[in-house]
Amino acid sequence: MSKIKAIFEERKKSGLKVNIAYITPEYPFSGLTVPLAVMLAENNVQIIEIGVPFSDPLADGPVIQKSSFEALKKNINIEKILNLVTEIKEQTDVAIVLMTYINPILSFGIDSFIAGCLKAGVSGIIIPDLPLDEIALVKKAFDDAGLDLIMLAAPTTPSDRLENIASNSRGFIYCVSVTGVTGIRKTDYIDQTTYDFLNRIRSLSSKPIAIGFGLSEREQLNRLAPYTDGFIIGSALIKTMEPASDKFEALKFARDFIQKVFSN
Amino acid sequence: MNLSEYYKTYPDEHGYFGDFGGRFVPETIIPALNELENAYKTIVHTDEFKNTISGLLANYVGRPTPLYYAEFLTEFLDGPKIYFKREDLNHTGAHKINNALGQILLARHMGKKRIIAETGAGQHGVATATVAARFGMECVVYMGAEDIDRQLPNVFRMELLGTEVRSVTSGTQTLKDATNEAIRDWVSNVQDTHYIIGSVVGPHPYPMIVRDFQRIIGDELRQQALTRFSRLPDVIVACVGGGSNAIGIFYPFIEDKDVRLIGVEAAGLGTETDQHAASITKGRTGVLHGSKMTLLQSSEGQITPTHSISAGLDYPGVGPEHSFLNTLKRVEYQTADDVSAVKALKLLSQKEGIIPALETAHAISYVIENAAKFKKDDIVVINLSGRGDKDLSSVRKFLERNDV
Repeated sequence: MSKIKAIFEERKKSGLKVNIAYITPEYPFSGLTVPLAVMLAENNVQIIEIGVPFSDPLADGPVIQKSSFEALKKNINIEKILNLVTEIKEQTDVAIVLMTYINPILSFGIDSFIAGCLKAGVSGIIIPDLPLDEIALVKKAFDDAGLDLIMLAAPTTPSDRLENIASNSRGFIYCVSVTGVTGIRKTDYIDQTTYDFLNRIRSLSSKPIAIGFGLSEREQLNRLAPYTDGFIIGSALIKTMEPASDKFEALKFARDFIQKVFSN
Repeated sequence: MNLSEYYKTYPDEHGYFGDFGGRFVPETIIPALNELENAYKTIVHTDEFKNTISGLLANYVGRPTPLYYAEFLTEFLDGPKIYFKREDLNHTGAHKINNALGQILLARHMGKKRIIAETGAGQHGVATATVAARFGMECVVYMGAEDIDRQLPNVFRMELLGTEVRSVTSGTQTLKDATNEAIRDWVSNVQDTHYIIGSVVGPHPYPMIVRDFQRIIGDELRQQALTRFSRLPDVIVACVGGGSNAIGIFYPFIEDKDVRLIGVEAAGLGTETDQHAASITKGRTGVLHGSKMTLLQSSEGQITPTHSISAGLDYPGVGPEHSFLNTLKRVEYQTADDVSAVKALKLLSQKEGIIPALETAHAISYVIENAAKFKKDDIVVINLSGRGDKDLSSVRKFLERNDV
């Protein structure tokens, strides 16, 4: 069984949510990624999403855009990220998911990408600019390799399409909480529309769901808890580390933040 | 392939031109693309839509545009007979309004309240701001900070028309980044907003819709040529950035295999340097702004910075249909660099009393430099896609630093 799916099942049995943290590799400091991943795994994070930086991240807001550009300046690429994953997996068994736009995968070569992911121990892939209409490009190869293609569902997605996304998504269904790009939003952005969207997915599929885009605080997670199996936090974690003066301080800021937001 | 099947085959039902095109965008806007495609298919064929748009094209835009014989340039070059399809005489000074007008009618039909657009040279931004004013819709145009500096007159024009121009400071601060920002805006405001893409790029159905609204250039040319010459032109030349003016004039001739079609990309400081925007000449297949096309990118799939003196050609990709026409070898893609474009702009200004846009000057430059390769009785039509008023300060600065 998929490692990701197993994590969701195990947490659900204990009445717990799956906590997912998004990080941009080697941001804000070089040498941060491996200790950060290990720390997150020790602090109640079950899945770590690592962003493959892309020059034109059109689904991302300002925080992830900036961190991606900084990572690109450090020449971070798929090969280096797979090496980081290998190092992380030597120290912890946390599940690793890569979030990448499609173009870097196409340049790397789909087959080489899959082989590299399997070797490094990557469990799943999220591709924000590869909607249902275009998944044929990678779907069969990913399925054959046992690499989960985690698909995104949006509040604007009509129900017949949602059903199709749910049946194709592996690991979990990534529910985009808002009509918008990634980035921190106010506590009150979660409203009845969000609950209706999550209920709609629930009624169409029994697959696990996790919600992301906009989340930054415990209060938001509490409100969403009855409707979801997991939470994804990205921009808020990255922004928390930005004021740090070195990687040790960044680790401390990240730990304090993650302990506060993922309290169980 | 058999070209006689071209029109009924492309794009296919998934929005592909051969291997190019598709819909590589966030899930959030997929339903809006479906809505747009359905609205387009439903209304463009209705008499009401046809009457509305043809009335506005005639009396607001000023169509049909003339087919002008460039007698003095022809004489000077001692080469083929050169004609200009005068898109610079359209309202707002370029071909861009053909598409902006069509799309705002679609937006109105879909009940959208707000319009957004990206712009490079500012010509599409001005065209969009113009139709937004004409139809009383709120309008925001994204423009790279670098382009704002080099195309200030167009920024003032948009603001006078009541549009908010948002400066984009991310990435390379040019058209590519303005497009990213427009897509992000659309992802965030998709329910009440229509995104008027200015070129034959973006996710399906945009490359098809923009082409269909621009094909009037080629349709008119066909009629004008048959009336005046009793035959089709021998060669049609157009500049290619994203490729909307080129597709507009080429498309009605694709199945006429005896008509040579030549697209001219921006070679910037030279295609042997990394300072150019010659996507087809130097690029390879990739995905940007929602579609698969020929792209300037690194070996790792990062989109590389481009350069052209012309903001409208300063774009790392080229529309999926051009990418496809290149693989079919139906259109020849050539290049012209900054210096030769400025030379062409000067020559045309002095020989014909027409100051062309820097984008257009690339197409003219190609014909000037290759005049001897054509036959004397060839009829060569250049798409004079825009006028050069917006470029005066760029050209002046360039001439201060370079002796051309």
